Amino acid sequence: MEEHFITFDNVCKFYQMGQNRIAAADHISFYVDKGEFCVIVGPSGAGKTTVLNMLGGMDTCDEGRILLDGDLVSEYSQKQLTAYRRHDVGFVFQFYNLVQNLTALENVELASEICRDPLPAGEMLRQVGLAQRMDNFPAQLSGGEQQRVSIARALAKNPKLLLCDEPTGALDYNTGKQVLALLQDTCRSTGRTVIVITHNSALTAMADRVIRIKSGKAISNQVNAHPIPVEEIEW
Amino acid sequence: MNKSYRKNVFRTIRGTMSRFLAIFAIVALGVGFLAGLLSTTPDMRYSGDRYFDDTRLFDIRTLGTLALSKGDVEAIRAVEGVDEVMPAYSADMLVNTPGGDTLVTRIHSLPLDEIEEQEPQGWLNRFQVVEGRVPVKENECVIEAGSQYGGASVKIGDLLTVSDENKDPDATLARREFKVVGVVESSYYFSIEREPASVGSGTIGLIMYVGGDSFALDAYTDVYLTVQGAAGLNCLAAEYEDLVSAVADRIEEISGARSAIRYREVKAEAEEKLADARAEYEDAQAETDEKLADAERQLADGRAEVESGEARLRDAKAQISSGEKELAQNRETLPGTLTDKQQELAAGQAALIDAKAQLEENEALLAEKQQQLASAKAQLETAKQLVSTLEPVLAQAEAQLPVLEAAIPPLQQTAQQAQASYDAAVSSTDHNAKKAAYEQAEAVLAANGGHASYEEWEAADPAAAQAAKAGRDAAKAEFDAADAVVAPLKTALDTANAQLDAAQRAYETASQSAAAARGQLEDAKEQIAVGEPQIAEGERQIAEGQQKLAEARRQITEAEKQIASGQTALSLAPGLAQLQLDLAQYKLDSARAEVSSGEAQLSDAREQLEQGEKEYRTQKADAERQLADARQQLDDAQKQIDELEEPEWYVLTRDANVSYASFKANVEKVEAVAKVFPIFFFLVAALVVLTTMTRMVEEERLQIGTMKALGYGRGAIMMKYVWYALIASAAGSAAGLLVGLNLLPTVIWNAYTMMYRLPKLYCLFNVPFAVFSSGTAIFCTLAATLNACWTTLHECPASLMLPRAPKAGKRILLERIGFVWKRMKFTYKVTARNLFRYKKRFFMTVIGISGCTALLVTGFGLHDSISDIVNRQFGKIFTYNLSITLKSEEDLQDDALRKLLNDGDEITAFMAAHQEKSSNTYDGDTFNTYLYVPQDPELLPQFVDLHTRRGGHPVQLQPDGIVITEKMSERTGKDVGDTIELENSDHKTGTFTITGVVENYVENYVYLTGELYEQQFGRHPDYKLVAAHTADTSQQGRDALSAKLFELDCVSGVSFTDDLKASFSNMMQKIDTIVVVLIVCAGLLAFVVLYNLTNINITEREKEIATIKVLGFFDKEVSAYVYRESAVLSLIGTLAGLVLGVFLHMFVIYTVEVDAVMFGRSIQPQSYLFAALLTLLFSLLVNLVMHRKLKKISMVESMKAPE
Repeated sequence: MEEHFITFDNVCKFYQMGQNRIAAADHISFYVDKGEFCVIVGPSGAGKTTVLNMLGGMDTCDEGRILLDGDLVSEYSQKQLTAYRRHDVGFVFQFYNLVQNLTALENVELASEICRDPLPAGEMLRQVGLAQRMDNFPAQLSGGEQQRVSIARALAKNPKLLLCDEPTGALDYNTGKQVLALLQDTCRSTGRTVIVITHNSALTAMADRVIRIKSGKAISNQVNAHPIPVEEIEW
Repeated sequence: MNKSYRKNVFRTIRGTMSRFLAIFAIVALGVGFLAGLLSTTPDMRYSGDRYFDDTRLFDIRTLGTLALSKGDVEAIRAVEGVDEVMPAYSADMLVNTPGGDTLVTRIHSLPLDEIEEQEPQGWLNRFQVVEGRVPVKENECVIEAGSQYGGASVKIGDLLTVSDENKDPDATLARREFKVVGVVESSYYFSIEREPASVGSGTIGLIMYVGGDSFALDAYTDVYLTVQGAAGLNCLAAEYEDLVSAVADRIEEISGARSAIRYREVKAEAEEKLADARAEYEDAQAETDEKLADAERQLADGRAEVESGEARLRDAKAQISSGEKELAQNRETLPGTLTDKQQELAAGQAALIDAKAQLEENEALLAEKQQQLASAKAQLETAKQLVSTLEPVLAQAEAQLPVLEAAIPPLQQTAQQAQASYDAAVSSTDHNAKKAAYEQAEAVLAANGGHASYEEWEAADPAAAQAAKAGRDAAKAEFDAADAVVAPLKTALDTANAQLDAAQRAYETASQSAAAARGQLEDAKEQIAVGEPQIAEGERQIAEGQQKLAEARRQITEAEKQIASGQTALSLAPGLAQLQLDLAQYKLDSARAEVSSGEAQLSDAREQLEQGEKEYRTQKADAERQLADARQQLDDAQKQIDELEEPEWYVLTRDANVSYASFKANVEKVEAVAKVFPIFFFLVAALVVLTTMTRMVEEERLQIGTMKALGYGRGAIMMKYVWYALIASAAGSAAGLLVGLNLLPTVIWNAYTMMYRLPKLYCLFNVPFAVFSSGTAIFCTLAATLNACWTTLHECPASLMLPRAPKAGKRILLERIGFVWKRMKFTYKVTARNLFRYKKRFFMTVIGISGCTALLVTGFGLHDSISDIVNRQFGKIFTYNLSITLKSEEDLQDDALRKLLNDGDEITAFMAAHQEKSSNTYDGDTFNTYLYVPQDPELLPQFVDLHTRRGGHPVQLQPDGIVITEKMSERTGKDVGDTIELENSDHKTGTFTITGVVENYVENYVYLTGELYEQQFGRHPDYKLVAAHTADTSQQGRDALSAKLFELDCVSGVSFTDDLKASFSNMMQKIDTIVVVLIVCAGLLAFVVLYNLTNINITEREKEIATIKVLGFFDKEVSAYVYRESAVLSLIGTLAGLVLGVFLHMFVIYTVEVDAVMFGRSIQPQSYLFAALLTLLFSLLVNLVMHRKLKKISMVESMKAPE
């Protein structure tokens, strides 16, 4: 097998719903290479979140293999998974999930404090353009700003992979665009692999790789040779 | 409520099960605890009362100082309101068990006739037979069950014997041996607290019930009775007490008159007895004197005997020595003696011969004399005869004499004629010549020729012879022839002559004989006169002579015998002598042996004598002592009679029964503890429920908004939460009531069954408590719910739909202290900020936790306060360990007591004091205290350590002021320097200055000096209480000393502080059970509260927790992230609770305390520690439980939109 940064190899995930066993992921296989800006797209209920959960180490797969940078994540124990989340994955939530009681800086620090070689928190915030709002509490920030704090928090961990779950879902159009731009820039400038999970197919245009998921299956895995900047995308 | 609505409610419940359960549990705890504890005392009272009613426990017990007569009993029976009456006997005795123990036993009488009845009348204080049966015979008994009453050592079938050690047991009991036939449980003795006894160790070790006839007393010791209508009332309530005390008062009223009657009876009887006893004593004395005199005499005899024995012995010794000497001499002189003896014998024989000759002579003499006497007698007789013959003869003769005279003359004529004829004839014949011739011839023949006889003559000369013959013949023939002529003449002459002669002679004779007869008669008469005395003399002489003769004969015989024996002896003498010597030697030897044995006997005798003397002395002393004792007893009896006071009746209610009073006191204690504590407990629970519901409503704002948007009305929306709250709190209440009303009374009751032998507990459903507690719980929950709903529903649906604006983070004060904040670890900063951010949560948690801690502190503190007081009172304050109550102050001078007190063996130090009750009124309440007057104030610190509670500074008893106890100071509001008025038991009032306030827990005391007492009350204090230190504090030592003290007549009470401590600590153990219940409940509450709060905390922050999990926090870190907060909250809550606990404890103590007792004010440090540790332990436990919940929080939550 080819060496890819991320590999999903026939990954299955079942959920027991009463009498029925539903396959949220039904032999999904795909791969992503290092430094790619990848968009996983699919309609609601296609299994995006399941993939995200498994990829983010929040959930385990029932069958198949998941590899990240050569490590078999699918075989990890809970503890290893936590370490994996701690050190290798940066997470950007749809609803930012900032700790309300911490300032922007402290929210970033919340992540950077726990990992092996974090990036300076203040620097991260500066990078996301919030140098002036560092000491503000989330409630004092707008949604975009909060999401940027969220991104800064994810980046501050210096992760191998940045996972973003509908990062624009709770944002207005322009702010969403700005956030996506930030993510794209981050990918480009730091060479970090970024995976964005969205139901918005319009975003596929900006991706280096697009994986389409439907009914628990990866129906395509395309490389976009010419991604376009997000500013140019309209939806 | 439609179906989906109902579903919604139940789904909500299922969805928030832990919250629902928390509310349920808190309500259940609060309600259960409150209702349970509140109803514990009513349950205890009810069950106790039922037991007392079932067993017919007396309502009133009447005692008399001089017992109660049948008349008294009838008088009591007649008192209005008196129902059943049971006159009874009881006595405290030492009883021996078959196991060899001697137990202080209380013996009660039983109405045996009644017991067997179907419906016994007049049988009170009944018992239940646990084992065996009731006694039916007089010699049977039953014993009270329970190990404190010797139950372990006495079994059914054992024979119990009333010990001889008792003072005059026969005066009390008619029999001494009782067979145990059953073990019973009576309501009279249902407490394990030991009853005080008046003998032996001072506590009862066995309780026996025997038939009334087994008692020999003539008056009842107790009269038990029930009061009409009292059974219908709860005896632990005021109504009962009013009813009973009314009857008791009525009995008191009759007691005066009855006592006077009884007094007269008893006095008369005692005097009679004393008179008898005195007579008996005098008899005994006389008898003793006599016996002693006898003995003395015997001794004197003995002494004399010994002395004489000694003398004899000395003699014997002397004899022996002289015997020895003699023997030696004898041996030497033996042959000489023999010759002597022969000579002696010969002389004797000679003498004998002489004597015989003499005897014969004398005999002859005597015979002669006899003859003489006989002839004299004969003569006399003859004379007498003569006299008698002569007298008539004489008379005749004299009469004949003239006749005879007259006859003579004729005859003379005749004779002359005849003469003349004759003469003529003779002359005629030659007659004379012839005659002469013839006579010659005859003479020649008669001469025989010179020959001897004619024949010889004839032979020699025949011729001459014949011639002679022939001559004569011839002469003869001539003569004859002449004669023949003459002869007739002659004859006629002769005849005439003869006749004349005869007549003459006859006359002469007659006159002669008459003269002679007269002479003879006179002679005879004279002779008779002389002869008679002579004869008498002669007879006497003869008799004498005969006697002499006999004597002489006897002497002779004797002498003969002697001689004979002498001869025999002499013949045997040599051998005999040797033999005698040997014999003498032998005798001497045996005499010597006898002497030595005599000596032995004598020393024996001497010894015996000495012994006898000794015995005499001891017996004399004994007798004298006995007499003295008897005299003493008589004097005592006299004194008793003199001192006999008019008896007094004691009319006692059940409060005077040890078991009952202790039970009542304990119920009151439980009540006091149960009063305050659960209310606070309940408040904490209510607060937690309240906040829980509030937050639940707040959490569901989105749903509320949705419902509202869907068009549900406010009421409908609210109803969901109301239902939720109602179901939770109602179910909780129900569960709480169900468990609490049964469990808590049972637990506490069971704790007391260790102390009391109580039957079944009746857990009543106490409606007021149930309604009150559950109602309050439900009301609180609903009110909180409605309030929360109300606030939420006031918002418009739109804003409700939106997630509630996250509460802005705030800088907290701590951040301003830069050096602290900067040094704090990041996660601590989060915690710190979180803590201050959610103020409601903060306060709710802190209050909840602090409440639980406070409850725990109070629980432990109660234990400290209560358990400490006895040790402090009887260890730190009253340092003495024995207190003796004397009958009067004079008894202090009692020799036996003084010896015991002063000899230092058992009692190392002592102090006399006066103690007197003083009742004073402050603010309308009566406050009792004791006036305590030490005889010697210098000694007081050795026995009572007066010091302040705070700081423990010693307080000196001043001569001019009083020292009062702390509780008294608190109650009266008086402190050092203030003056106070006190009343003594005579209701005299004195004014005193307080110079000190001291630590004290049990009862209240006013310490003052005797001078001050006298000065203020004008009376001498009566020092009859003795406080002492003892050397041996062990149980055996105490028992022994107690027994010794009770032997003294002057001692009326003995109490050891160790016993008090033991009995109190026993009670404390039960209080401890309640405290344990409190602590367990407080702990449970703490757990539930903490669980609930943590649960809320986690639920509220589920997303945050999910987020940090996603960020890669390990489980431990996640837990730490959450727990750090709750740990700090717990710590703060605990600290606050410790402070709150101090106040709650204080409050509870003040509420619980009664006047007579001051509970400890301080809580031990370890109680704080335990309370804090327990709270933290529960907190930890909750966190452990919650850790699992935290682990279960799905990270997917983080994906969800905020609500």
